[in-house]
Amino acid sequence: MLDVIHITKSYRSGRGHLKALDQVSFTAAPGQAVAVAGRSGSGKTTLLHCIAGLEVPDEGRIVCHGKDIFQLPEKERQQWLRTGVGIVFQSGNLLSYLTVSDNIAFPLQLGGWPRGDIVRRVDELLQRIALPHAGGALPHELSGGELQRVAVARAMAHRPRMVLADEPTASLDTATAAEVVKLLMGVCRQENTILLMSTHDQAVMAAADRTVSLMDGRIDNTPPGNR
Amino acid sequence: MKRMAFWLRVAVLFLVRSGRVTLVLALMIFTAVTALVFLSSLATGVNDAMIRNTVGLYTGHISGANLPAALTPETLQVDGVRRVLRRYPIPGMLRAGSHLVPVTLVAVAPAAEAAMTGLPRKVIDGRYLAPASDQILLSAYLAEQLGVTTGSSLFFVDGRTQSEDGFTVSGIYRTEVDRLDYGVAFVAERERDADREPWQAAIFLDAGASPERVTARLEKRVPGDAVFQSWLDRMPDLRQLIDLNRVSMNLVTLLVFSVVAIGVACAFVVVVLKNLREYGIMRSMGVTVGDVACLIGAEILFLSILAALGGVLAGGLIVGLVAHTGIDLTVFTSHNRYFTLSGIIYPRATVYALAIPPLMAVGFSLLAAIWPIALIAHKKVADILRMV
Repeated sequence: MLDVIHITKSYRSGRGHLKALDQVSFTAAPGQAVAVAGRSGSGKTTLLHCIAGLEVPDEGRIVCHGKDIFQLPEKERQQWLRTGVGIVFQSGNLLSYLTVSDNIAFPLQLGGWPRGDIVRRVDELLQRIALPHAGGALPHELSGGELQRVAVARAMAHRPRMVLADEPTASLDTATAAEVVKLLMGVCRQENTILLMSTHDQAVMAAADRTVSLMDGRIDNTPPGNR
Repeated sequence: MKRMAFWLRVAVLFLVRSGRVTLVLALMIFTAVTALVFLSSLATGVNDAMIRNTVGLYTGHISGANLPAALTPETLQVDGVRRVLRRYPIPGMLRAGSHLVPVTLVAVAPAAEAAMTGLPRKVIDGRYLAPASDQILLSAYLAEQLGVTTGSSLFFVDGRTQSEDGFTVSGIYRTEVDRLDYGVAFVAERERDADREPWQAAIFLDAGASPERVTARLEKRVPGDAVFQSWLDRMPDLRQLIDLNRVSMNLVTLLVFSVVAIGVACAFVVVVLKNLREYGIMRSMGVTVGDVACLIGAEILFLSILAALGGVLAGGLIVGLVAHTGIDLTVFTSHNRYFTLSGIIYPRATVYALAIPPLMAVGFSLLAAIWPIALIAHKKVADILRMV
């Protein structure tokens, strides 16, 4: 279970004090896919960063499976990032000098998985993303859709409690985007993982179990038809 | 350990798959190490040449004085000694017509002297002494003072016995070394000289033998009034020059690697900036700053070790190629008293010349890792992910 409780985050910028998130609260259950929607600058990425533990909010708490992320000591927070969270970015997800297999195995190596288990898990995921023979390929040899599928595999590799996808379909065509979202949701459902996807793509919102809309850093409760 | 092995593997993959960057950085380190191995070997060769020229002209590596007649050259043949030349100094006056010049006449064994010293090669007129002859070898200065030339006759008045011997000038030499060019003349030793004392010794050492250690051995073997002095004590100016040469070489090495380190640091910073997103993604997966430091450090370490080893091999190869033929720098040394015999430099690769450049390359390259590591450590992961 993920509890996002009254998260507030401000930045200082050239334009003064900017409130990126203001008292944002919601929950997500394991296996549930939540779309975090909103225009550019609405605070979607900041929210995802806060949930991942990459940014510390000014106020509020993030509790995932009973763990208050920001009460954890630094070392445990790093451990949480390594084992509890999987992240898919918009693009440029993979480490360019590692093969597809090595990229998928990366979080498993960090987590200290035994070699045999790593090989099995990578093979399983390569099958799952329908790239069974691409293990030895380098990222530059793959198409955009294939790259995102590998990114999904890597985010899921270490069986995290939660997967955060920051605009995972933004750089893809409609058909490929649908394919990637389907894969992402399928894997998360199967592994009972919480999935949060920031997006402004209506198709992604429609596919998600529910949508949390942000407007200027606040939860926007206006019905979609009236926005 | 397993984690370290993982990062080392990632570092190797990075280097292998970042071909051009790796090649450019490696080339920079490789070139610097190659050049410095060669320059260090050349500096050693210059030092060797100065010592060889200076001790090889006349004095030997160690001079022995106040040696009693009962002592034979064989007695001085301790470990590290190649050959001992016996010389009998006789103070007196040279007389040619009305010209009279004070001189120290040195009776020598011409064949042995010709084999071991460079003086016979400094004869500018006539020839060197013939064994057991009544010939005398004069410096150009003495010949001028006495008004004699090759083939002239002159007399030597022994300062102790006042006896007078006649000689024929066999040749005239010039060394550019004051001690030999003024006040000394040479004659071939004769049987009667064997009883003279004290005699002097010019002791030549085996290659690599330590003058200090051999001097200590000689002092132990010949107690009493005998005095042994290595070239290190006898020629503090040469010793200083050699030390100066070494210090200069170390400074050059330091400067070159400082520049190389800045180059490596700049190049790695560019690489890090280019791959900043990848580092951000890594850190978003829980990779710590320590892990990133380990990764960048390992990348630079592998790169510098490989490039430095290549540089040592290339530098060693170049030194090997010119070590036998030598480099003729006579045009720059012909008027220098430390190069009286030859201006040919034979570069010599010492352990120091082979070890210091690569060690400094690796050390400075690791220092160069600090900047890119600090760059990554300084930035927040969220900022990196947002900015790229």
